[in-house]
Amino acid sequence: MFNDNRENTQLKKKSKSSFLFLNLNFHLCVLILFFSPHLKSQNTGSAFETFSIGINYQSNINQNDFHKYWLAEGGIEGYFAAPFYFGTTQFGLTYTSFSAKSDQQPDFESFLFYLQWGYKFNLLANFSLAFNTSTGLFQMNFDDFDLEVDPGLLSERELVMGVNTVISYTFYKDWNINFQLLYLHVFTHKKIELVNLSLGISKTFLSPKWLKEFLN
Amino acid sequence: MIVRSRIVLFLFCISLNAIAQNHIISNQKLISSGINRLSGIYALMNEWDSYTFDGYRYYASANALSTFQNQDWTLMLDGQRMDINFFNLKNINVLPITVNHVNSAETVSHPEIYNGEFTANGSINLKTLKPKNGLSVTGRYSAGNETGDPGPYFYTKHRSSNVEEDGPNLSASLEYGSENIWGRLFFYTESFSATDTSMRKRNPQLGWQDFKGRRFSPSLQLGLRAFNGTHNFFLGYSTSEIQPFHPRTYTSNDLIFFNPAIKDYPVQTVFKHAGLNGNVSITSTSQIYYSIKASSNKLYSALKELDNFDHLQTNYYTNLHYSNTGGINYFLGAGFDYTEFSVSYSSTTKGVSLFKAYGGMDYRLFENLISQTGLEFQISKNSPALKGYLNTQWIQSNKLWVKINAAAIQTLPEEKSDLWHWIENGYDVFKGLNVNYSFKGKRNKEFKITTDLNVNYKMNPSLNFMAGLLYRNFNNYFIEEVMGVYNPDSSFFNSFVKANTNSNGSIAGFSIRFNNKILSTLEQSFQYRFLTSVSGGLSFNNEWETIPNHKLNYNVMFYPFKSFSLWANLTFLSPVKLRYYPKLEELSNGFYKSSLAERFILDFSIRKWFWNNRLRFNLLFKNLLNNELRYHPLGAEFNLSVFFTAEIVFNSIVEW
Repeated sequence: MFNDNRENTQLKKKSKSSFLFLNLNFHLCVLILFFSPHLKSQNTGSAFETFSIGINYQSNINQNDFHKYWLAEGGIEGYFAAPFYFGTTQFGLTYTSFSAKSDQQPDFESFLFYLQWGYKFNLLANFSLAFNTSTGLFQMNFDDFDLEVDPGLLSERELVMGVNTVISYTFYKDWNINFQLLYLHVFTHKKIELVNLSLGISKTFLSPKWLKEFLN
Repeated sequence: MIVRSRIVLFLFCISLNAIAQNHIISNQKLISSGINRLSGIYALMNEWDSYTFDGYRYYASANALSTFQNQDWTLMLDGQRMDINFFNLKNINVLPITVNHVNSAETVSHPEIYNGEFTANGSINLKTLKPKNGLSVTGRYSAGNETGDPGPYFYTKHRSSNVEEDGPNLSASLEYGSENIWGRLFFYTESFSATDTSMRKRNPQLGWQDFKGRRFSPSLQLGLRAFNGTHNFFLGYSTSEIQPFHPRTYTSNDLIFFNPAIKDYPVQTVFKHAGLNGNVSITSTSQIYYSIKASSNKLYSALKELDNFDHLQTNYYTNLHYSNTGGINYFLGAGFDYTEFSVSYSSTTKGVSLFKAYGGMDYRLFENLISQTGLEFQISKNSPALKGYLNTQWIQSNKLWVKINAAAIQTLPEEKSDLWHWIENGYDVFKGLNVNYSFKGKRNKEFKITTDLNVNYKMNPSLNFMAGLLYRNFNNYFIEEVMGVYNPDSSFFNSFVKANTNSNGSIAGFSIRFNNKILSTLEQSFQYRFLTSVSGGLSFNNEWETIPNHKLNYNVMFYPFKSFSLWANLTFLSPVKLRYYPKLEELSNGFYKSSLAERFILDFSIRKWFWNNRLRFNLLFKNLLNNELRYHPLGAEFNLSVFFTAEIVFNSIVEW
């Protein structure tokens, strides 16, 4: 009992110290980002002056309780992004299918409708780095495998919140390659946590006057 | 000398508007907060308390003028009284209008005569937006989702039950506006569900469809500027019987928590209202205000075995008010109220007639001391009642002023026309509901004394401090004491009700508040309120313990661009106790608790408009901290919820 307690205390201390270490690292990163001479905010342009359209392929990389039951197949994301009054904004849709690991659970497909806001910094050469936070609706459509279930339960929606960081490289005029690390938290009773990596391409356009007026 | 008299005149004008301390919730605040239903307005009213069982129907208490049991505060729409009460239920969402058509909400939190009504228990007056010139069309969609659904885990050992959802709620209006005539044809259909485990567990007799609610609410508003005045006609209808745009038809579309039975009943409710009010200027300094209306409320059980639970309450009301502002400011008025109650199981129909006459005046004892006093005499078939108030303001300077509101109010049992009044008059409202009850003596006139002292210091045009004290004394106060014993075998409560007709006691409290406009686009406000009973019997104290002793609120509104705003509201509520359920925790194996712990509630709203304000989107996060949140120990638990609203507005598409 005593040993257990000691182990627990040590574990807590360890996790606390790793948390502090991570926290310190995070703050250092933030400081470096802010004071680096190469960094320049890309968020000073007027809102909706330009807009980008992009597409990403997403792959789920983490493992937790959720993954005992389902395997996330690759996801496809399409989005529209633009500079906002401060920072940048983006809305998009991600489609992912989840296949069950046993016949006790149904397969399901998800549609994530999201809205995102973040800040983007220019790095060296044609690289940029962005930190974003997002919220949206995670729509889950289950395969009709159990007829005894209330039909209303074959489709469910749940709030999702997420954070992500994106490294972009402008390889030709307004064309970008984007590499993203994304964390999603679905607010179901037992939470679903997904960590995804994504790779994609986007193109930036100058907004026509009518679009700028519409969005402003 | 001229300058001095001008200052005095200026101070006099300010004070007349401010003596009563009516609080106005602006259109900007209503919009920025992103509230999707009218009941959301309670969250913006710091002086009021509110709670809900299911997230749809709310109970409110204005500035400690009454407990949650007495939903006798006055609701008005453009100054027209709306009698949406049934027994002690007052669901503001029954009003056939949506929040996007509300220009402002004026709350009266002290007794005074307001639009011909003595606001003994407070008042809310919703003022609608006047339609723009020409023909306009609006549409609105809103929906909400509470987090905590089972999701895919429903098919695993981690299975849990579904939680509440709100909507879809759809409304549309066709409007016409001009300088002298305007109108609005409005349709609204809303849906909601209360599927929380604690509610389902208490009601094992109900199927899942009984927890779903539907309502259809059309209305017609007409306005006219004529005969030296403005006139408003409102025709409203709200029913749970009709379910447009919903493919599945359920037997019931409304669910009420019936406190004496400690049970929820699937019901149908129908509200009808036709009214006309307005004013006519006789001279440049005198006006006549009038109001006339007829309304009815129908409430009946959707369960066949309870077909006796079928009630209709009809009200006819008229009021005439004369106001003079030349020389001496005074007003005189008279009104008549007739409420009729009929039930399906008896051919007897009984009614209550109330006649009132009132008057009041503003006067100044000294240069900086301005008072307003009002007196109302009311008489029913059985007895008379008097209500009076004195509101005084001392203006020390244009920075510092002190307000005192004092009132002595007698209330007739007939005025309340609540459940117990009709039972006392021979109606067997509890027939078939298995409720045991007894009256503790004959119900008499209630007598209430209220005093409020508020000191206001305006440090500069953007920073305002306020501190206040309040005291209330109640005599012959009516309390419905519901003792509920939980039966773990049936999951029902066995209830016994004592209609306590002569409870006495007093309460006291204080508050501090500041409002600060940090920038032209950034506002914040803070308020703390303490409230406690200081004397009284056990039942009186128990009843006031349902209102939190400590309430703290911090609000921020940021609108940096004309088409974008952010709003956040943090509320702290101290623990509340409900002593009417003995051994509840023990008998329910810890599932129900008879008290609520302290609660921190953070709401956050983002609003963005597009297309020159024609297209409006709003996201509202309620309980963003996702803390355990209940407003009643037997009610639903509200997790983090998100509400989405989209509006489309085409103003003046055709101009005449």
